[in-house]
Amino acid sequence: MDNLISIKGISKKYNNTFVINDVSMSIPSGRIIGLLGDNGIGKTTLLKLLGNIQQPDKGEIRIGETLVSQMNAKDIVYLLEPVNIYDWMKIKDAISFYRDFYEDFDAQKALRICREFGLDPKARITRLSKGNKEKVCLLLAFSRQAKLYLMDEPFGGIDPTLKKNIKKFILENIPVNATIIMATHLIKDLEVLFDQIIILGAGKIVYVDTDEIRETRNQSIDEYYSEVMENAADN
Amino acid sequence: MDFRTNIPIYVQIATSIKEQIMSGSLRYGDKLPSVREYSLIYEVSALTIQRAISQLDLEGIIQSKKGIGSFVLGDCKDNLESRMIGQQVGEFVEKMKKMGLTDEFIISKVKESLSNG
Repeated sequence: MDNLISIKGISKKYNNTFVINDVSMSIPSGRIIGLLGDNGIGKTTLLKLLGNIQQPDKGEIRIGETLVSQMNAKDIVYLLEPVNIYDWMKIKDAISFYRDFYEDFDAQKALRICREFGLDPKARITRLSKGNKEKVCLLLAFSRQAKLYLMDEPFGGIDPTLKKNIKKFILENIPVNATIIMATHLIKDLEVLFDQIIILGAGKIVYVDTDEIRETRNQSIDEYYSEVMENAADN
Repeated sequence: MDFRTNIPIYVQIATSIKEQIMSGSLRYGDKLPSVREYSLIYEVSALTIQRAISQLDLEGIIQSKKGIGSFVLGDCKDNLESRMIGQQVGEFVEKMKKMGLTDEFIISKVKESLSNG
């Protein structure tokens, strides 16, 4: 499988404290990856560095051969937190906006997902519940044909019906061979979906295949995650 | 399908497809669903399905033809049956031996259980 992301020695400090400290890894295409860790540990920072919304103090990130800082934004989808999206718009305005802005955006697909979610395209985004705002983010993100999807807690306010269908929704709508990196607390709900996980904790990073954890340790991802976090707390 | 979360998912899917062959719902020469179709049926990633398919290919249960699809191989039903039985018996014997039982004792217990019915 081709290498999609090459991370070499990146570090990022806030107020003289390392949030990301000398991290290197290679991430292939065609993977669904869970990004796990406690709140405030740096999951959002890592996603923002990958999406070129922030720049590392040291090191470099390449997508394919190209430095992320020199990339066209359209190859990456960074799913913003719902509070930040275009509150003043109606859903259909947001869809038109994306269509005009991104060449790879499929407005028909966006409207289809909108219907599937039971949302009215004429609804004003500011009046939507948190869960419905998330749905708007999701339908906008997955109506693009990108190689890399970066998602920050995309299902925080989700309703139980959609929660049951998250896996199907993602699998139905992700382009072939794209990679998703998703920060989430829904480990138990999504562990079967993840090909790999990245765990951030106590200044170090674990990046591992989920089936390898099951095969070599006979553990679920949830159990493994708890163990890694306990060990990190002891050190 | 409800997966056990501490056993590799691709292994559980390969087993599920084997069971379909043994029960006859997949037959000799049948074309398997595509990776994408399986991905939606089992609600797992395309990668996990590809791993399950390669596993079955490796075991000679199906044949994957690039760009065409995967097909159930001819004599695999009989093979599968004898192999799955062999595996079950192997696991049973290993468990008994771990309990420190002698071969004679295990055999006598199996006989006793068989005659009871």
